[in-house]
Amino acid sequence: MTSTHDLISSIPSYMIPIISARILGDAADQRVLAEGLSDTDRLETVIAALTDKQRDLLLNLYELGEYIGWEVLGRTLGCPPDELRTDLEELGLKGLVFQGGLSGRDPVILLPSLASLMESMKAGYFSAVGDIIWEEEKKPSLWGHITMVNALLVGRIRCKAGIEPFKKGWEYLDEKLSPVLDVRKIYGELVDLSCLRERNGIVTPVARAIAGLAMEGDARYNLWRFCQSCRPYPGLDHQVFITIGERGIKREFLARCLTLWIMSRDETIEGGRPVIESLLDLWLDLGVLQRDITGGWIRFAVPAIKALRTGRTDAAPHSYSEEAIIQPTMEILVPMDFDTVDLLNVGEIADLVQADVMSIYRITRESVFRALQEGWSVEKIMGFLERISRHTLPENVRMNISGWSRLHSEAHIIKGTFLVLSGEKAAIPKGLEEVLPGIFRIPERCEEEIASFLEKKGVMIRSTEGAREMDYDVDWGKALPLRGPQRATARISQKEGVYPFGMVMPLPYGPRREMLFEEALNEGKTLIIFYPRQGYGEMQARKISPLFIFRRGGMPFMEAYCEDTGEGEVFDISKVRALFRQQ
Amino acid sequence: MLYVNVNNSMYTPDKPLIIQSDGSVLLEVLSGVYEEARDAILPFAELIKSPEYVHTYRITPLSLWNAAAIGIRHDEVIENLQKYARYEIPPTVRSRIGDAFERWDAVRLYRHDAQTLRVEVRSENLLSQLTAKREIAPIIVDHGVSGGFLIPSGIRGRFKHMLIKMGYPVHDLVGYDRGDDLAIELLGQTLSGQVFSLRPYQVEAADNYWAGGSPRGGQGIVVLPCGAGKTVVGMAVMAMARTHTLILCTNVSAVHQWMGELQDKTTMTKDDLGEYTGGRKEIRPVTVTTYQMLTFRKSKDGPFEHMNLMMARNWGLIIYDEVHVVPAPVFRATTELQAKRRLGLTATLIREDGLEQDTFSLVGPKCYDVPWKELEQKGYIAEAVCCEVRVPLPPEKAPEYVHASEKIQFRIASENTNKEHVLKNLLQKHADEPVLIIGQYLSQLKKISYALKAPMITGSTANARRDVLYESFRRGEIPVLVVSKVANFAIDLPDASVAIQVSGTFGSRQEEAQRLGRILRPKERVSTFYTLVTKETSEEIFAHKRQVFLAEQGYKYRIEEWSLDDINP
Repeated sequence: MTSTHDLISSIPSYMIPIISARILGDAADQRVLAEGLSDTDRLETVIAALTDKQRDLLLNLYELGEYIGWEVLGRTLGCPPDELRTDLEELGLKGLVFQGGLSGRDPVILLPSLASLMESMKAGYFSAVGDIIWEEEKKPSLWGHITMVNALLVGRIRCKAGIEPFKKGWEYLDEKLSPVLDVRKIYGELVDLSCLRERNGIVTPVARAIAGLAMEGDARYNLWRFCQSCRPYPGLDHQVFITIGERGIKREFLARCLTLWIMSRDETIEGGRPVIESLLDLWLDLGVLQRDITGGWIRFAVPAIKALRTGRTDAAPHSYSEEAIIQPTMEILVPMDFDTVDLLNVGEIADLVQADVMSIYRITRESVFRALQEGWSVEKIMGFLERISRHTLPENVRMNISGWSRLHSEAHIIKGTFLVLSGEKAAIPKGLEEVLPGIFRIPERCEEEIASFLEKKGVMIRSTEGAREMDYDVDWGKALPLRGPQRATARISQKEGVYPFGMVMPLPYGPRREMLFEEALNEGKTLIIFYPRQGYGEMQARKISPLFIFRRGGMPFMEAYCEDTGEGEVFDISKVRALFRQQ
Repeated sequence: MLYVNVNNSMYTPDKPLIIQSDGSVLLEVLSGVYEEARDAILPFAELIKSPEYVHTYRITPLSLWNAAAIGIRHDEVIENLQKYARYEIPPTVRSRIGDAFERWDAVRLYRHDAQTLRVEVRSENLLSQLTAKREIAPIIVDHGVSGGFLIPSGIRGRFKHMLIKMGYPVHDLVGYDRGDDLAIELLGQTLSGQVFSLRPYQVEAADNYWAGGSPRGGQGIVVLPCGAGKTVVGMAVMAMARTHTLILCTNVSAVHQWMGELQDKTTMTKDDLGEYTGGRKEIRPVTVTTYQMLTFRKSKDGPFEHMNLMMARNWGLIIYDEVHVVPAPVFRATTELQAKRRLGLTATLIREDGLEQDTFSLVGPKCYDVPWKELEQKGYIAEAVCCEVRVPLPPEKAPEYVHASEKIQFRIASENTNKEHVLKNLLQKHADEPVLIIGQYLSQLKKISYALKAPMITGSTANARRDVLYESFRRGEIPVLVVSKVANFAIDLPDASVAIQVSGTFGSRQEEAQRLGRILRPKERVSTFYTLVTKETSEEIFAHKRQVFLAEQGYKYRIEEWSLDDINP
């Protein structure tokens, strides 16, 4: 419904004068009725005379949309049906609320001309962002995710199908991380982001995806979580986006709007308010939303609204203030507020000992070997440690790393035939034929055996096949920019016409129906009934004065004088659809 | 489950404390308020390690009870932490601190009459919990005491031990038996004529322990670093208690050291002092023995033959030297000795066997602790530098090393002949200093001893011979002394300022600390501890463990590398 004129055009023409007389006081044609209903002065006067409860109801109806199914209304507004009906009837009699049919359970329609007044009422719940003092923007941290990756690099935990770790794996992660992290939640997110894969039964961090997570995570993670949290309620992300826009909004009002929205779309939700409240808290924590210093107002954080609108996330400026402390005990103490890319690098060259407020990593011979295997050089390791260290790099740390790097031997297995060895002192299985200095012939089908022998001796095996998975990026999904759901074009059937709510009374079934007509007969009342043309055609309104009620074949009939035709006619009472409620 | 949320509003980067969710506390040494913060937390947190930049302390129920025992309140602990904490105190830590204080002083023990002790329990709820316990119900002799019950006085130690196992430290206010009188005083000068007086921290330690002779004192542990004069504190306490004293030590050398010190610095004569060891069985007003003697028995299931020594006399004071190594059977005997005053002396409260609770309940709470760095700064203990010298293996030994088993590989690396060249070089460098050479393999030590013409002490060297050599070394008559692993414990070599370890695995933390303790006696020059390690061999793994340990203790650690060209120019 786009305008009041459209709405009025859906009222059967024979009803126009009757309805207009009832609402405006004079019988009028369709144009005059539409203009009368749209008259702003009249509407302001009518609304001013409403109770707060009625005004709230109007605002709720406005939030719920153009056509509101009766069942949606009952579920979302949460008040008893009779009470709701009474409130709506009062609004209907003032020409503010309509109903699209005769059954009494048809969709409810708000007078379209109310839109501007409703917007004015809503304006009190919004404010320009510059008029409010906002709390500092929260910045999400990928610290927990990268720390878990670092734990997985050291732990190499085994997993079942679906990358579900075995009990021991969870125990390991709990031991390393649980004092400060929700282990299962973060693990699940890493899997969702395609940062973990199963390789030979081992949970393996995907190098490229993890690097992407560390680099882009500051800017994207909170938006990804925002969209993830909206997933159970399709379209909620967009609804939040359009409800708040670039304004500040009262938290209370936002929660009310979103609660109506999700409850109107999901009949399984009971009591949507706690769901919305917890989502609001989450979005505030994530820094997608920002609150004012009183906590009463909310807005979108600037980077978030920009990203949601354009789909582009600007890399967050480097805001990490903390540095690591490298101790002569070979420990690296890393605070939580530490650059995530650097944290990932720390995990490559040192083993995570314990995650905590200040996480403890330890540089070991094995961790240095691992880093060398991953392509680090001694110079790079030293340079990196010097850069991140708050203090001078202890001399023994420097000496140990360079000493260990000399012990690091690398072997290249040329599949099926040769072992190429660098490093002089690596132990070689006896009996291998040295075809060239440092190059040995491997007997057929013995590669694995020799590889495992060398590994036991502490020699790193560099396979000719790519050991690292480089083909997978972090999977942020396709959430940005936000797009609204496709508009449904279905229109509500208006076969029976549109009427002010409560002016048309559906007839009850059974003896009560007959009694209504008997009462009118006895009291000599004129009735307006809705009756199918010739007993079976389209619905028409007939103004009748009952004359006689009788039964034929057990069915009730009524003989009445019809003012429209000026003749006496017989009506099948069971086919009367509704009664127009007389004053 | 609680997760730490580092609250940005609480983030104060200039503060030096970081409180971890497991109760450990990291303290940044280079902070401007480091010393203030350290002094604020020291009463209720145990120092775990003290490397160069960040020291680690731990808050445990025991550390909090130790604090409560000296009158520190719950709100003071939280206040001190908050004052210096960079981030918010994790809620788990807050609740653990609250819980520990809740339990402190919940149960008190008083003398009721000669035969019974009165147990006073703070809450009705706890009282009914305790009296319902299977272990406690049978020992109650009278329930009819308001807010508590009576137990026989003979089970004072057992009761305290039972309760600490249940998580409740008993506040023992029963008091002590006087013990037989002993006229003992500290001398103003030693036998050699040097002026002797207690250092300020030694006076403070003894005063804290003694607590004016009231029941509040008389049981406790003094924690002082190696070389800080724990023996002297023991003697000061003896001079305050003036009663017959039993001193328990770790080995015979330590027994002799105690006896020597007592004769040197107190009015005790040889006749007052009894040595109760394998060689001698004297029981005198002051008797010094070893834990090993007390726990000696002929067969695995036989009785401890000398344990009754602890009951043999009306001791008024028992001193547990190196209390962190007291064996479990001695604890059992100690449970029956709760009426005696007890003093524990140690460099660390941490026990390898985790029996810290027994030490707390049966010997007493910590009553004095001082950071070693403070003593070093004031010149009471020597500044020490650790140096690892990496020596290459002779090229001709490399193939043998590569194909040997792990055990043999370690031996080849340990007995690297190039080490002898480096050793000579170091001895030249420290020509005017007394040097101790420590090693694991006798063949290697014999070779070094022969080459350097330096005497050697091994496990088979008789005690008398050892004492003679130690004495000569002390006097400077022997500049270099070669010792095997046996030298690790409780020998006192006051003039050793250089130790060179030519071989050996990494022992326990205590063993390493003791070894280093040999060179920490106060001196004018910096002490140096060298470890010779064969480069790129399995010996580096053990050396690395030692390196980490020493760095944890806060010693400066240097690594020097020698090439073959340096050795054979």
